[in-house]
Amino acid sequence: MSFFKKIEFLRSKDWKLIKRFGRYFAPHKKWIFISLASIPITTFGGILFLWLVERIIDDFILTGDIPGLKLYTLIAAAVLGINFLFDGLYSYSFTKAGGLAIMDMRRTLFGRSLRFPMRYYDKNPIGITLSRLTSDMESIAESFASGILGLLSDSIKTLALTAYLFYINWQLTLVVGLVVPIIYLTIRFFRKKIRKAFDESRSSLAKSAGYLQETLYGMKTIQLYAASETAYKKYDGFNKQYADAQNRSNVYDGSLYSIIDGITSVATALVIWFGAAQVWNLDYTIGVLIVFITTLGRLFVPVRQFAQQITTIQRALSALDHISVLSEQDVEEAANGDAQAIEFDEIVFKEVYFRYSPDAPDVLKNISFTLRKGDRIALVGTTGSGKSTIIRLLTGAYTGYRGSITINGMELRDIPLQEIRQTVSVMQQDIYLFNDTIGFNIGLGRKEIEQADIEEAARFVYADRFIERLPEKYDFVIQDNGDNLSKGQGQLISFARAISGERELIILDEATSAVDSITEHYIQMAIENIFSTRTVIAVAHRLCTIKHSNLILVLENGAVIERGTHQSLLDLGGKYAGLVKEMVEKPVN
Amino acid sequence: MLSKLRFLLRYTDKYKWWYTGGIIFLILTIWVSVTIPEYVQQGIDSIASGRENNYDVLLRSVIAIMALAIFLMIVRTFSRILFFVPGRLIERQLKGEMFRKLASFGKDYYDNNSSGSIISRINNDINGVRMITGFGLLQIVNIAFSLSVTPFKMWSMSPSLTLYTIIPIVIVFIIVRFGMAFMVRNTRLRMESLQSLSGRIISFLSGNGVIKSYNIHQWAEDKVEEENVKLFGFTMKISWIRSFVMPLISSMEQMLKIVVLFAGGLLVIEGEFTIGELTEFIAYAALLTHPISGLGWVLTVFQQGFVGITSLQTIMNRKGVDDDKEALTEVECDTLLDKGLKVNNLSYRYHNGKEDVLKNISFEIKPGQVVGITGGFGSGKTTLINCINGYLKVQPGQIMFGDYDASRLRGDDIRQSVRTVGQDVFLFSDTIENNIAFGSGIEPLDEKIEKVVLQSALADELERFPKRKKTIVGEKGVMLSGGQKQRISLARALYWPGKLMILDDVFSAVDTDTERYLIKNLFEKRDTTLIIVSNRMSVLERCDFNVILENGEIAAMGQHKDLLESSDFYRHTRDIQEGGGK
Repeated sequence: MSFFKKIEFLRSKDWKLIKRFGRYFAPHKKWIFISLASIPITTFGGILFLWLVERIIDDFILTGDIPGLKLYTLIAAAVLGINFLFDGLYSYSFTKAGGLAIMDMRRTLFGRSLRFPMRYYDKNPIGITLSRLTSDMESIAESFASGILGLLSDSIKTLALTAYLFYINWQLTLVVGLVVPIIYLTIRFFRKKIRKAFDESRSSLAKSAGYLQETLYGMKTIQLYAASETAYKKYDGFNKQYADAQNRSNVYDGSLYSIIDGITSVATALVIWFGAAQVWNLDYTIGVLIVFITTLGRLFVPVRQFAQQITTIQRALSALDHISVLSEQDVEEAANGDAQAIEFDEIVFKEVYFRYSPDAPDVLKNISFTLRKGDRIALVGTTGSGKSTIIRLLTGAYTGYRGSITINGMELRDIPLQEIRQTVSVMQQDIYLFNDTIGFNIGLGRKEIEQADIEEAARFVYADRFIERLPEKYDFVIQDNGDNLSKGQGQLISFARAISGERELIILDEATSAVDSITEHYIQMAIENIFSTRTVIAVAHRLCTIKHSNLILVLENGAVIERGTHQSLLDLGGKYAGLVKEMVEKPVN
Repeated sequence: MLSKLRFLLRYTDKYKWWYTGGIIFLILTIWVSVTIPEYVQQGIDSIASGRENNYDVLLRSVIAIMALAIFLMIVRTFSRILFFVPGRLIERQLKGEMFRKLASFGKDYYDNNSSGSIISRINNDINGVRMITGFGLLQIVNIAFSLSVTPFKMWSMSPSLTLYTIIPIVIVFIIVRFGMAFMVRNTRLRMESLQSLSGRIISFLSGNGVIKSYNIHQWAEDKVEEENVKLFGFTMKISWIRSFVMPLISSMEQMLKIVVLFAGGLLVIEGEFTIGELTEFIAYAALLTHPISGLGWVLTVFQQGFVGITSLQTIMNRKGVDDDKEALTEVECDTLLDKGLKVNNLSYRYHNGKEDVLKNISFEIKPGQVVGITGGFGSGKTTLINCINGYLKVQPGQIMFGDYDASRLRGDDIRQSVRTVGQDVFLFSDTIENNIAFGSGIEPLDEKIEKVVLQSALADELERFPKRKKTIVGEKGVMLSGGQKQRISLARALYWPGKLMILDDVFSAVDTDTERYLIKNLFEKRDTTLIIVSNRMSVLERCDFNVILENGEIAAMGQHKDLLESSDFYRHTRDIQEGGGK
């Protein structure tokens, strides 16, 4: 009776969600089939067991038939055993289907998340994406293991029982049906509130976890600003929100559970009342009445669980709603296509303008330059002058420029991102190192790069000097983004990484952080080596980098104000000359 | 064990009236649940006896059942709320306490514990405590009351039949305990696997830029897939137990029915038992199975919760760096730097270091002075300022603020007066203005924000941001350049400047014009004492005196013009910077 009513509890939005994620189940139909096929067996077994118990009492115990009693209790035990096995099979294969689907979902959506544009992560902390890929998916798995699983078999078994009761005495069955609207309304009333409280508790938990992570990273800053109380208050604020939402949902959950349980007893009272009339006026037997009352409990236990199961399913729907963001967000690269590198010839910037958002002012104004194979261009200028923006455009991190940027005559925005990235090696200012070996951090698991290439690259940028002195050499495992290396060593590894791909064009966004003098020396020699063999465009902070360039662009407020070689610009005696004077900031011991 | 109970008691004590209420409502719940069947029995008996004289009894029992049902709804709801709410409140309190505790730990703790493992402790272990203090306690009371009544009634009916029913219960319970131990073990392994999955996802999403530019998406996906598959493996192991072992409990009622029907049936046939008593016995056996299955879960909840408590205790019992120091009064804090500060023969060695990184440093700063600290890479500049601002703990007598010995002061008290702008800038994912006002403990004030924005040369750039000062800087401020981050950090210090401001190499990522502007502002518009770590002559030449560090020792100290004569390093630095353009 109730199962189909429950289905209406889902909003049309929920159906869309279910449909969207349903496709993850398609490949695992087999397990769902095995699972569903077990239901008729266990349903039949359940009724058979009831029938056997009745026979044992009426036909053997009351008549004193000991051999019959032995035989039938054995049969009942066997039925119970078989039922047990098929029930297990039902739940195991159902969970397996769910687990496999979630594994697929996580794989697919993580793949997508990796391909979201950088802009996405500017706005959405990684922690949120993480919780979508982990705890939200856990909610779905949980709802599979206990929610949907139980709802499905319980509703079928309840339907069978209802049919059985209707067969014994349809009038009393209708009387029991009187409480169904009350149950419907109760669940409906609480459902909305529970869902709202759950959404709130999820989001406040995510905020609390995100904030905790952030403060742990920034603990030193917090301590230096004597701000642990401020941070505590903010963290506690999130936890209060979470506790409040959870407690509200406890009240609703508890009430729903108790009310439905109480309604069972109300129904019992109704059955006794109407049953009395039937027995007294219509000569029904009292046996029917007793069967009815003892079965009634079995009918309402699942109904009570429905409420909990529906709660779990609603949690899953909330989680699905969160997760759906990951499948809606556009990705910027195609899935693993084998992009070919472009045979690099030249890059032309022609009257390029750019702004980060439509209502923001231009950060690049009328930028034009040409970079041919073998050229080395240095971008020099104050912070905020637009150097990094040029690099971000070149690597495709941001699009939406006006004017024209072409690689070998092809407009940049029309070239697939992966092709651009196959062509260009970027050495970022923020060096990122994986928690893996040095060898891995250089080669990055790229198929075409072998151990010899890795060592060759390290030698080329003078990273081998310090690597060879480490106990495990190339197998030295880097921890927490390079915590166990110096900053300069991290830079050298990132150089080796960029070099090892044998790409023609190298983009160098020079780090400004100070390094010790020996490493600085190696870095300068490494840059020399790179400059002498590749095409380079560099955001330069080091004098040596600039000196090795054959074209220097001096930027100010997004525009090129001076261009030329080191010497010609020095002779000009303008902005560049002033900058160079200050560039020698690091004392050389 | 005792300490764990004490731990629990400390938190539950506050809610003893909640729990007392919960227990009362729970007893009422159990009592009502047992009473309703009695009225059902009465009702049926009255029907069986015919209409005459029984109409009133029937009416009364039906009304009683209805009334009790409504009463049951209320008491059960309250029993659940009263047990569960304290659990959540304790969870919140514990999270807060852990957070405060963590904030009191120094560098040595964070060097040895990754933030990932700290987060999982806070989230999972506290969850375990919450389960004990909510669901766990409810179930224990429930089981204690249910299990004491039912077996007594069964035994009084037939001791031998009671023993027959206990045998399957014991067997099932043992099997289920083993199954549960297996499940608990795998649940833990599964949690660990989930953690390393999270770890990889975080790592790859943080390194997204590298993954994109080297096109190694496939590799990252494979690495995550490894953990994904492992996680699935554990899930299925748990599911196996959940499907084939745990249901033994729910089948127990039917198992007992068969046992009672057979053994009890024989008794009935021999005439020692009536059919009515048999039915009653079956009903009691069924009543017995519920608390037994609850018992299994409660054991697991407590087992896991206690593991969590142990791990929480290691954090709780660890001393914060300032735990045994007395806090200063507000007045004392305010006047802490009135007599300047003195560094006396300061030597410092890191907790994991092999040799001193600072050796016998001595100098004195008078209120209002500007002091430059300079030296090569690794000379100990940053360590020195971290000793002064109380981040690193020094020995008695080594640093004195007037008459106050820094080794006896709480870090927070020192930092009320000492503001540091460090090299590694940390920005919260929040608006720029909130990042600036961070640490002042108050909401950002427009006027003040504008003033410090101007002073730290951020005004122009801020105009270019989409939402100006309300712009949210991304996670760890990734949208900003290094120079911008440094200047926001400078603005943060200027917003609430204290009496002593320490600037650790804040000019390294800004251009000359900006630098000149900043220095002018800092030197001319200050009402604080200033320590500036820098290698730039333009800064050093304006300081009252400079300290030159070399390998942790003071190589030279004095005013600009004297140092030009006395220090080779200083002269050399000057020459490079002046001659760079030639």
